[in-house]
Amino acid sequence: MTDNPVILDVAGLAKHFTLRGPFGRVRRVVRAIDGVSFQVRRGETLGIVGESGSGKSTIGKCLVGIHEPDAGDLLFNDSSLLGLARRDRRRVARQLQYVYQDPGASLDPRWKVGRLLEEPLVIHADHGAAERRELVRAILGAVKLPDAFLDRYPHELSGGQQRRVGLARILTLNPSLIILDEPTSGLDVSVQAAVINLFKEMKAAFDLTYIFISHDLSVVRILCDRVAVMYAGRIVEIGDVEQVFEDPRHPYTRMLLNAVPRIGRPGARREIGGAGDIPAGEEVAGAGCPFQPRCAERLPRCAVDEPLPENLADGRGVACHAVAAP
Amino acid sequence: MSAPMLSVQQVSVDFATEDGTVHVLDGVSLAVGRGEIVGLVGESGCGKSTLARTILGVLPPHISTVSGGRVVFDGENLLDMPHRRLARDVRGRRITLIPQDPYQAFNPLFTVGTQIMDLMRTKSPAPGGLSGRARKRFDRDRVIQVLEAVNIPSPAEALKKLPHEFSGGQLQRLMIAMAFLPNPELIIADEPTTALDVTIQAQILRLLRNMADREGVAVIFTTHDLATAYQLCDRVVVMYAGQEMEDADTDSFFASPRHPYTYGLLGSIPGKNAEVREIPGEMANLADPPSGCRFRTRCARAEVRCAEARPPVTECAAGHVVRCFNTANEQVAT
Ligand SMILES: Nc1ncnc2c1ncn2[C@@H]1O[C@H](COP(=O)(O)OP(=O)(O)O)[C@@H](O)[C@H]1O
Ligand SMILES: Nc1ncnc2c1ncn2[C@@H]1O[C@H](COP(=O)(O)OP(=O)(O)O)[C@@H](O)[C@H]1O
Ligand SMILES: [Mg+2]
Ligand SMILES: [Mg+2]
Repeated sequence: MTDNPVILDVAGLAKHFTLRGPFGRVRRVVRAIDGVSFQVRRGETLGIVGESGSGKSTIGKCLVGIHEPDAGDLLFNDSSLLGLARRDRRRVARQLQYVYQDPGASLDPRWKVGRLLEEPLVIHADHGAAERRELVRAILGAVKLPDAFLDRYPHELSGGQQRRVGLARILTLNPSLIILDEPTSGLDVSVQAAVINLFKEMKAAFDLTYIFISHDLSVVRILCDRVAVMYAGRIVEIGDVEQVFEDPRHPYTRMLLNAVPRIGRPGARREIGGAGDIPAGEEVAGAGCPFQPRCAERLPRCAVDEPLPENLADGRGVACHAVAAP
Repeated sequence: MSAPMLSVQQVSVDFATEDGTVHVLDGVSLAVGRGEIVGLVGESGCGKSTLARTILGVLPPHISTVSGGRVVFDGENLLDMPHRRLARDVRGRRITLIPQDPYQAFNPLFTVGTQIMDLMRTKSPAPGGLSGRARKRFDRDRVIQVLEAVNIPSPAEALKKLPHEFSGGQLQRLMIAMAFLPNPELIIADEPTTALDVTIQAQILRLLRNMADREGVAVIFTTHDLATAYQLCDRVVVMYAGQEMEDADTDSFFASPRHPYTYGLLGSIPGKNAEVREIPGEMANLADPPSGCRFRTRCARAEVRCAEARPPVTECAAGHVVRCFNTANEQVAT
């Protein structure tokens, strides 16, 4: 995988939202993401984790053009996505799909599954009718639904089946990179297991690359090759999943992993892990490390000087003065 | 365990829906001892909230019927208790609720302080003879003390704020404080951490555990996450399609789980390297449940008898019960 070409190169990406009060006065600027850099190689699954509000979705939305970034660059297959003419952007955008939570929720209830799956192909008009139908059948099979479903309406399907149709619809566009935003949130574990296995199978069958956004660390661990940990709009640690989960270096990564409930071995002492009595993510302003108010390892310079990501000997990146200091 | 403080005995609840009568709870039983934290674990739609509502006497009117069973609390069957007495003496006073969605539980138009002091006045027993200003001062002291215990910064200031001025995690802590304020004997926490980040969830679980220990309060904690129940609870009850399938103290439950549905749940939790395994099929249709065992259509070990008769609830080890014919089940190696 590490020899595969980089298909996405994100450099110094920033997106700020300006919240306005009455009469258009600027009340507050939210730095949703700031200085975010990472690369994704073909065939890889990159996880993005972090608490809600840490900027995960904003990254995904900048990648597909829902948001225009305020700074930084996005290179997809070596060409910049920013500053493209609308038409060119749409052409590229087809290879880059953003899937928000439940892709089955937005299916048009008046259309049968067959038409739902054919429609994206009709819009892009590069297949004949017979070819289209063949493709739709193949993709329906890939998401493990029988042909008979082509004649059903969405409401005749279970929630899990609708989700499969939603994914099949995205696959008909033949994307190369899919950004999955919290695709397992709100699912029961048994259904979640089915969805995880489906993602794995689809990836192999369609030669896909994933960016997998989730606040569920256990799912990221089994699905991803690399993981980026976000805090307050910054990547604080990024590296191979095994490295990061087995030996987390950033204090925030450690806190996050500690808080995940786990079933221990029989006879082990049962206790609630996690965040101690450190206050939950209150808004922080000003200079310095954004995690510093919650950090047990802060140094005097953390309050004045924001740490930038640095590569450690094992290849991962960590943004922390306490880790970088010898 | 001495006589349990709460015992749910063979409770059945039906809903009248467009699709006919739905048997949402079907002979479900469980017991809660004093100061015990019981985890009620099951996937969405299995009946956790319905059981909570049955205990609290707040099932949706007109469409729901309790068709059998008893809910014995401190020696009395709550299902027989006149509604007014239940509302006045038990619900919100001796048994309180922590709901899943804190935004729904607060009125957005009034300050948190107004709502909490109101609750104290109507639900919290004041020590004998206190009234008027003295009573108010007493209530306020208790409120401040409990808000401090749940880590609300500067409680006196917090009371003046409106609900939307708090973060989700803070509102959840306020809900916990409110559940403890009337000095209840039992708190029902209905998936209070499901929508929260893990760091906040850990804080809330720890808080609940410490508060329950400190005040000697029993808790029924519903969740769909076995790992959360493992960390927090003294007992675990696994529920499927309106029935308890397995019920054991936490150590025994995780050391030797017995029910095939429990294995299914355990196998579908993402672990270290393990593959996740799906539970085949879909949740039983409660309007037309399978004959015999409700889980058999999804069970890898179903036999002929599972379709012919309802499996008995059997005690397979001390205090460890399972609703399955094959109580000698051993988990398939994972
Ligand atoms: N359209 C928007 N307008 C204003 N603020 C926004 C908008 N989208 C996101 N934000 C803010 O940006 C931050 C990051 O949000 P988001 O990327 O959605 O986080 P996550 O996906 O990690 O939960 C949050 O503080 C959020 O409130
Ligand atoms: N008001 C209602 N009317 C009809 N059916 C209901 C109602 N409330 C719950 N149910 C049904 O009862 C079953 C159990 O629901 P619930 O107790 O909410 O489960 P849980 O809390 O475990 O997710 C579900 O099948 C649900 O559809
Ligand atoms: Mg998001
Ligand atoms: Mg519920």
